[in-house]
Amino acid sequence: MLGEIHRVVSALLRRLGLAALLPWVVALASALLFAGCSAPAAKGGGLARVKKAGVLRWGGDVQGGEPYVYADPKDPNRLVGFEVEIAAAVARELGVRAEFVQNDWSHLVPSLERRTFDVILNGFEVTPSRIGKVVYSRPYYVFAERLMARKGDPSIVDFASLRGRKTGTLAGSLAFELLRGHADVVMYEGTEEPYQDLVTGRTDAVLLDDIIAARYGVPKPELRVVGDVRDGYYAVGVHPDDADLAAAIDAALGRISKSGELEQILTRSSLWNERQARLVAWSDADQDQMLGKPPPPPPLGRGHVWLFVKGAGVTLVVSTLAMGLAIPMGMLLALARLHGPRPLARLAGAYVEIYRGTPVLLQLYVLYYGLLPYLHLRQHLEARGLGALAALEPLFVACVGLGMNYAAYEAETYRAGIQAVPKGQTEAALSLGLSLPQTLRRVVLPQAFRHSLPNVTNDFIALLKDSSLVSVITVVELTKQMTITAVDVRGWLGPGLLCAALYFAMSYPLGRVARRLEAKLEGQRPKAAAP
Amino acid sequence: MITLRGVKKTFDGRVILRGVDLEIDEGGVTSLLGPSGSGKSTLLRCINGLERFDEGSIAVGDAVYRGGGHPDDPRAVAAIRRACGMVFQQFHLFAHLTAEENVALAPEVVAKLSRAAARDRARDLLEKVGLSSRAHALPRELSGGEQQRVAIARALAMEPRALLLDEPTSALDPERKGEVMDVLAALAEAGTTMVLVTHEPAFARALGGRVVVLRDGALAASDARSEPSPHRDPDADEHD
Ligand SMILES: Nc1ncnc2c1ncn2[C@@H]1O[C@H](COP(=O)(O)OP(=O)(O)OP(=O)(O)O)[C@@H](O)[C@H]1O
Ligand SMILES: [Mg+2]
Repeated sequence: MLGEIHRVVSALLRRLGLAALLPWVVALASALLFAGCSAPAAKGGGLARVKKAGVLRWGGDVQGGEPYVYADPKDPNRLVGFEVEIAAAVARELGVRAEFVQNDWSHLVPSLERRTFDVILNGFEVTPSRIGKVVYSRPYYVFAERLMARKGDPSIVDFASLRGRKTGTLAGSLAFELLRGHADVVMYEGTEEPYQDLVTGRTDAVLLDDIIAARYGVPKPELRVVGDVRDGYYAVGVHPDDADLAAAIDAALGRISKSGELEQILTRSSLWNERQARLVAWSDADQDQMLGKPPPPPPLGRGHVWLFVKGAGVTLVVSTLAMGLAIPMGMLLALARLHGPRPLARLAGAYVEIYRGTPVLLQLYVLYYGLLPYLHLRQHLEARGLGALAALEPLFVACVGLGMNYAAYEAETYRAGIQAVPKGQTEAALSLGLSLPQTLRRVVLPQAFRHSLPNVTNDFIALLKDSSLVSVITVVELTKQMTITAVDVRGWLGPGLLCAALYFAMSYPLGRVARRLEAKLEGQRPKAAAP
Repeated sequence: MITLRGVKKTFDGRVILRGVDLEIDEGGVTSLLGPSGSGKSTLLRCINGLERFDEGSIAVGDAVYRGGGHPDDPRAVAAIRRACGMVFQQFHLFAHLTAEENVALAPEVVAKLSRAAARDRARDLLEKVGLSSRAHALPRELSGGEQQRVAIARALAMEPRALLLDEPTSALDPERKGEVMDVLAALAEAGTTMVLVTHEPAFARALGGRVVVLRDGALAASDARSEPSPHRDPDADEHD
C-alpha cells in the first residue's frame, strides 16, 4: 500500500516538476504512518475498558435529527430518539451507563479509529466499503432504500431509470454506493436539502433511507414515492481491535430484541413494521448474509489520480473565479468606504463587517438553499432555452458565495494598501489639478496595489483551501474527492497525501509567481524605448 | 494676481493665521519668512486649496475661495490649482512613475494633451532643469536635488501663472541646494511669478524681490535687511 502511494505521489510530483519535494513528502508520510502505528492498540481490551470506565461512549451526529438522536423539544438539554433508547438499553445490559459523543456524521469512522468514542450508533448503515474497517453488531433496524421523484415527472419508475439522471443522496451512505457509476450522484451533507433540491428541480430523484424519506420527503406535496430499491441495516460499529466489546454488544442487542424491548422502542418512534420482525429471530447465518463477502478494496490507482486531478480542477476554477469577483468588488468596497458619500461608506462598512463576521459556510448555505430557490433561476433559464446551464448552478453559487465573502477581506486589504500611500502623493496630485477620482486611479491605486499584492496572494492561497467548503452545496472539489476516495480504498493516508500534494502544487507556484511579480513591480521596470 | 483678504485659519481652536492680507503681483518673487510653526506652509496650502480656512477670502485671477463652512466651488478650485503650481519641501514625486511620467501626468490627465504631446512637454521641461539624461529614472533612483528639480518641472508642466514653493531646498544637502537654486534663479530671471517660503534670508536675497514675514499669525512687510544679520551663515537658520 505504501509502495503504491509512493509510486503515485512521486509520479505526480515529477510530472509537476516538483521532484525536489519528494523526500519531504516521503518524510511526512512516514511521520504520519508512525504516528498512526503508535496509537494504543490493545487488542480485545475494549470490553474491559468500557466496564472499567463504567460508561459506553457512543458516537453520533444530532444533525441527523428526529427520530435518531435529537434534542428534546421540551428540554433542549436532553437528548431523545430511538437510538438514545437503544444505546441506554445496550449499556444497561453491559452494566454501564451510556454517554453520547457528538461527531460529524461523515467522519464517524475515522473518529472511531482515533477512539474518540467506543462505538458508532447513528443510522450507521452496513455498507460494503465499511465492512472490514469496523466490526458490525447484529442490526437494530431494517431500513429500505426509498426512491422519490417529483409528481410531475413520470420518467423515474425504478432504480434502472436513474441511469445518468441527477440523483440526490447523503455523502457516505449506502445509497451513494449503490448509485455510484449508475446515476449522476449529487451529494448532500444534511437530510432536508436533498428533498428541497428535488422540489426545485435541481435533481430528478432522491434515494435515501425510508426513515429519512418519511420525515423529510413524503410531507412535500410536490413529491411522490417511486418505491423501495432494497433493504439495508443499521447496526452498531465497533473498532476492529475490540472484538470482545463487539460480541458483548451483539449479545446485548440479542437480549433486547428477544425480550420485546426493541419492538417497544421502535414502536414509540413509530418505526416498527413487518421488516423489523427479522430482528427478533436474527441468526448467525443472517449476519453472514448481511455482511456478505466484501470485495477487496481497490488500490489507489491511476483512476483515482485522474479523479483527484479533476477535483483539483474544480478547486482551481472555483477559487480563480471567486477571486476574480473578490478583487474588483473589494476595490469598490474599499473606495466606497474611504471616499464614498457617507451613506455609501456606511453601507460598504456594514457589508465588510457582516461578511467577515459570519462563517462563509453559513453564507454559502443561505445563498444556495435559502435565497436562490426564490429566484427561480432554473425556470428562467429553461424559458430561454438555456436549461443546460442550470446544471452549473452549484458551481455558480460557489464562485459568487466565496467571491462575495472574500470581497470583504480584499476590501480591508486594499483599504490598508490605500492608507499606506503617503498623503503627500495625494496632495501633489491634487495640487496639479487632478480630480479625486483621477488622483485615485493614476496615483494612489497603482501604489496601493503594490502594498496589497502580498496580502492578495495570501488571500488567494487561503481561498484555494477555503474552497473545500463548497461541498456543502454539492460541488465535488478536491477535498470532497479525497473523502470519497478514502472510503473507497479504506484508508485516509494515500488519498490525504495525494490531496495535500495537489493543494501544494497549486498554491506553491502561485506564491512563486506573486513573489516574482512583486519583485518586478518593486525593481527595475523595463526602460521606455528611447525616442 | 493673488489676493488674500483677512484669511483666518485655526487648527482645533488654535489660531494659526489671524487675518492675513497679501497682494502678489504678476512677475517677480515674493519671499515668505517666519519662525517655525508660524503657519507659512499652512498659508501656501490654503492658497492651493489643500487646506480649508475659517474666514476671509483668497482670489487668484477671477477665481475665489471663501473661508467658512460652505463648500468650495469645484471650478474655482480647479482654476486656482491650475493657476498655481506647488513645490513641496519633501518633493512628493509620484513614486511609481519615472521622472518624465511625473512631469507628463498632469498635462495628459488634466490638460488632456495627447500622450506624445505630454511627453514632449515633459522632456522640454526636464531639459530646462538639466535632467534630460535622468528622464527614465524612478524617484528613488534620483538624488534629493534631482527629485526637487523634477518636482519643479512637474509644477511648471501645467503652465501655471505662479509657482508656490514651500522650502524647496531645506530637505537637501548643502551641496545639492545650489542646483535647485540655479533653476529658481533662472525662473526668476525669466519673470516667473513665485511665492517662496524659506528659512534662509540669503536665499530670499539671492532671488531678489519682496520679502514678507509671518509672525504671530499676521504678515509684516519687510525687506531682507530687517531679518537676521546678513553675515550669518544661511544654513544656521535651518532649525529654528
Ligand atoms: N493638520 C494639522 N492639524 C493640526 N495642527 C496643524 C496641522 N498642520 C499644521 N498644524 C499646526 O499649525 C502650525 C503651523 O504649521 P505650519 O506647518 O504652517 O508652520 P510653518 O510655518 O510651515 O513651520 P516650518 O517652518 O517648521 O515648516 C503648527 O503649530 C502646526 O503644529
Ligand atoms: Mg512649513
